[in-house]
Amino acid sequence: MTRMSARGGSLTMALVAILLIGVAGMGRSAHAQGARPPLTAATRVAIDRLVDSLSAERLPGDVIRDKVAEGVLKGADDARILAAVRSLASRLREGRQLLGASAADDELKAAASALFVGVEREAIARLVDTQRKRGAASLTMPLTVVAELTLRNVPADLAVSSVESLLRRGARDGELNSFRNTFELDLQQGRSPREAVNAGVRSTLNALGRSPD
Amino acid sequence: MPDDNEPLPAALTAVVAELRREVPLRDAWHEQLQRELAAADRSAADGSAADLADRRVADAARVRGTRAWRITPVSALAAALVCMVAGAMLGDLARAPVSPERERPPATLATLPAAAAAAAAEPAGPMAVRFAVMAPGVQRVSVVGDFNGWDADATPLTLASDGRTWTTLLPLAAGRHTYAFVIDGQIVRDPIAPADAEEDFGVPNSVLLVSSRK
Repeated sequence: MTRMSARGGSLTMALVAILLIGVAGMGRSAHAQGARPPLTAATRVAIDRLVDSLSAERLPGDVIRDKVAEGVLKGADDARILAAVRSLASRLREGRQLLGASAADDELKAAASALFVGVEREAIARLVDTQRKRGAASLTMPLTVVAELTLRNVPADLAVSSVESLLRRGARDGELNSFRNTFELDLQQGRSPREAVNAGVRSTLNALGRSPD
Repeated sequence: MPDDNEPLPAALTAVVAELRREVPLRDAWHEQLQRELAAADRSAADGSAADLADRRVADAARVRGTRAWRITPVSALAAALVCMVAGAMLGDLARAPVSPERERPPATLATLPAAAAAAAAEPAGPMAVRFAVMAPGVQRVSVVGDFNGWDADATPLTLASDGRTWTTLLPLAAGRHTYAFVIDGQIVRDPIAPADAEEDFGVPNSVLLVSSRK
């Protein structure tokens, strides 16, 4: 094979890979529902009560309204929307218990996502403890990364321990982001979620100039 | 280096001859042009050769119905300096809410490190985030999320010159945002951004973290 044709082959493979990534990402889709009937009065009242209740508890009620709007766009019926916002409200309350009174709204939202995918309360509490010991660092990114890893079939305990280990070695949001990107790349290259997360930890620790446990 | 005295090739000579051939003008135009040039020559008798040349250019321009400007090297340099300073000031003004890092497409967690680095030095406020998605051959793309009430009509994307990439720049408050694209009515998550774990309605969203500038 000549150098030119080898280069052309690499280019073609890269283009195919980009297309496949795009197609895979777009594989799951839904129609935006322009003609969905409006929420019933009863549903609206129930949502208003829920928002008022959360606001009284100093929890972010606007998150509920966002979830309703998302459900309407995605064509969900009233019952499904109500179930989703009640579940979200419950997880926001749980997040408040785990993260404490000083937790920011974004931290609560990230905690709610982690709880949604099945991360255990104890594991989140451990992560909170690790991060709080570092001072004023936010939990939004660590919890978001944990939730995403778990969503991508990394066992929840491994996801939490990996992020914890990075935090203990001084990783900040930027390093957690690199870790997440490395994980994503490894998945695309065919590694299993467990292998990809371990490789991501090693790579991030190397970049931090630290060695794994 | 070619020799100026070297004879041109025959083909090139023919081309040069053709280019030098006088273009026929209507007699009235030709006479008017000659009169104006002669007048310019007379009035330039007291002036320098440079002034004469400038006047000729100006006269010729008047014949064509346009205006000529004389720019000396010094004034050109001064004008360039003024333009550079003004451009820099306007650039700063236009970019006030937008840092280059935050413009980097696509708008995902990848924007975080630089934005976080800028956090200490910059005032609080919304940040311009560029959303981009490759979607060739489609008619309409928009972005929906908690920042626009999940309204599919609120934030349309514009097709870039490559004919495949759709983009928009959106000011967003610092924080955690969830979003998706609507491509010809289909809701799809950003394939290269982290997925939001919550899939209440069957299609996952993507997560975008915008760092605070406080």
